[in-house]
Amino acid sequence: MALAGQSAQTRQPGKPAQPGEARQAEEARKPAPWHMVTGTVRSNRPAGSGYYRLIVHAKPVAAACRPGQFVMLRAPEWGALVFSRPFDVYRSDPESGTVEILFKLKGEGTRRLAALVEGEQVRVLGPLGRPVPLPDDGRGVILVARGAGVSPMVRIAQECAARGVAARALVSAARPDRLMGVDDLRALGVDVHVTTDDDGAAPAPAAVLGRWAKEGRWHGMFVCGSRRLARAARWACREYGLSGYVFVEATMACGFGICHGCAVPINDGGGSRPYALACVDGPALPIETATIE
Amino acid sequence: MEGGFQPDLSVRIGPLELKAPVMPASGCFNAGREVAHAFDLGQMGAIINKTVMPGYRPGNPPQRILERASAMINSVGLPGKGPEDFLNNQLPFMRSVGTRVIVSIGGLSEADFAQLAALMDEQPGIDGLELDLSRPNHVEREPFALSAKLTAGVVRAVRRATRLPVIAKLAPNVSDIVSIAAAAMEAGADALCVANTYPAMGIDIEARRPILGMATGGLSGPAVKPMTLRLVWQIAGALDAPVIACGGVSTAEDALEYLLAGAKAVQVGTANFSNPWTIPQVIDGIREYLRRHDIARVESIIGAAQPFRTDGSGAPAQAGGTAWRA
Ligand SMILES: Cc1cc2nc3c(=O)[nH]c(=O)nc-3n(C[C@H](O)[C@H](O)[C@H](O)COP(=O)(O)O)c2cc1C
Ligand code: FES
Repeated sequence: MALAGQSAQTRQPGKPAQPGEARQAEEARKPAPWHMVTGTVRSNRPAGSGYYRLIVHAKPVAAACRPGQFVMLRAPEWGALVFSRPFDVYRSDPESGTVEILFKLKGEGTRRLAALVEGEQVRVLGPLGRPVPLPDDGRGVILVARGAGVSPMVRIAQECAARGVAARALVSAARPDRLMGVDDLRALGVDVHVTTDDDGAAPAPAAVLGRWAKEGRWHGMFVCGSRRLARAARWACREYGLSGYVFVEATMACGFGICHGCAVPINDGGGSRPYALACVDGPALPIETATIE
Repeated sequence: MEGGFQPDLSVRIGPLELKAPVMPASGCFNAGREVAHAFDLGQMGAIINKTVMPGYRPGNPPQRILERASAMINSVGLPGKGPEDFLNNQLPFMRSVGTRVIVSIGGLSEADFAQLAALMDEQPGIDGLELDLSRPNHVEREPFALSAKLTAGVVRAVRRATRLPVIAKLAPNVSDIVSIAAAAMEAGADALCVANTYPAMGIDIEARRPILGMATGGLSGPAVKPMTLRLVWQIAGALDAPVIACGGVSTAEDALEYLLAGAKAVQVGTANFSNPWTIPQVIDGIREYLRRHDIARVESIIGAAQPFRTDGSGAPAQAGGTAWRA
């Protein structure tokens, strides 16, 4: 599956993807049907800075899950909550039939999920959303993440490792102790660079991404967890003709396209389609489509 | 089948015979395609699309939905591609499902409704129309269903434009639901859908502004059921009008309450979002209930909780109502 269908030879630096190519890339993202299963918690542990790592046995979901997809979770005790909660998949393993989630304690839903212990049940709906395409032209991908935004990047890195696609990451956080997923990315062979807000000497993300983009060995970038990083990535993608995807977020009721609640504004070139649905058009949108201002 | 007999789940709603008293609520199921791989849609009493409006609509700006205790508030704004897309891309799928096809139409004027009704009248394979008279969005116009006169006006215009059975979907936030229900029936409706969402809102106390992009929206989900149940009870007690109940159904018990209050069928909206299997589970639960109570036909419990009920027809015999269909 070639991302945007172009090869290294035909693509001119500085030239944005052709509309036809973009359409082709979107076509390649058709997801498989979702499942709803009662999963079993394999482990659920605090991961520092208010984050939790939840591993759930949910075989059909794990088997079908492709990079860039998400799941909706719901604990058996859900009280007066109505919506299940969406989470990007951090890792999925068809062999063991597990999916892993990294989440931050935010409110009632994540509090109930954080309280789950090994052996308890959790309802899993997924995989949902459109998978992201990976290049097959010999070039690699650049992963850009902050906070829990590292989740989809680890899943993408899994796929890159399996397919022999090179990956480099820029992982950002406020402080060094808040960096998430760095070890897991490294274990998957990703060349990880970190940047923290408290490091006054760190070069601006745009400068880093621009320098990497210029190297010619990267096909595109994936960004999650920060608008600032997304803007930096978009600039670098435009400047050097890379493809890009940014993960968007919205309150979701269903996760599979029937409530129309998860609309996010998009750049439709002044056209008549100003919104995309984060759950079925995303969660990863082409970086020129997403509004990241 | 283990456990004995198969109760008859079919119900008659005016001129419409349904194989089961459960169907999706408009706007909470699209045209059904997204869930078609999950269960056999053909077991539902009917399939209903998201309300089709006269033209393309982008829908409302985010944030469109918000969660509250046992409820959600939405101001989705009826996004859609308009009638042509509906006829080409949604109606054929709805027809293929193998159950009654009810088309929900909306509009900002009587003429909008009449035109859409005439258009649907020409299409094969449509069994009825549901009129969304009750969307709680006051930005474009006040919902027709807040007034008996406006409700009757739209129903009359639609009645002239089609021979299809017409279901008028009413608003819950009115002072006298029975008078509006009566006006809709008098104007030529064949049945009523009771009800749409309740106007509501939420405020972000940190940002100090409304959470929804449009500030206000419509409340739905389990929290509204006791209120909508009382509306169904009032109408079923006063009029001989077939009522389809809609509001907060997520279990068979919810559906049974509505049937016992006098509804002929129920619609499932918000519950589809958190559990796409809600509709078949509600149907199974009703079947189980009938078996457990040794009741052969679901029709014989309709309105059973109404006072002064004299027979098993489902028709309340309470004084003071008007018999619209003898
Ligand atoms: C997200 C959402 C979209 C809706 N869209 C429509 C619509 O297009 N047309 C309509 O008649 N009602 C619409 N409704 C109202 C529902 O059909 C239903 O009347 C209401 O939600 C109450 O039922 P419930 O509590 O089972 O959801 C919508 C409700 C929700 C929550
Ligand atoms: S969450 Fe329901 S349409 Fe996206």
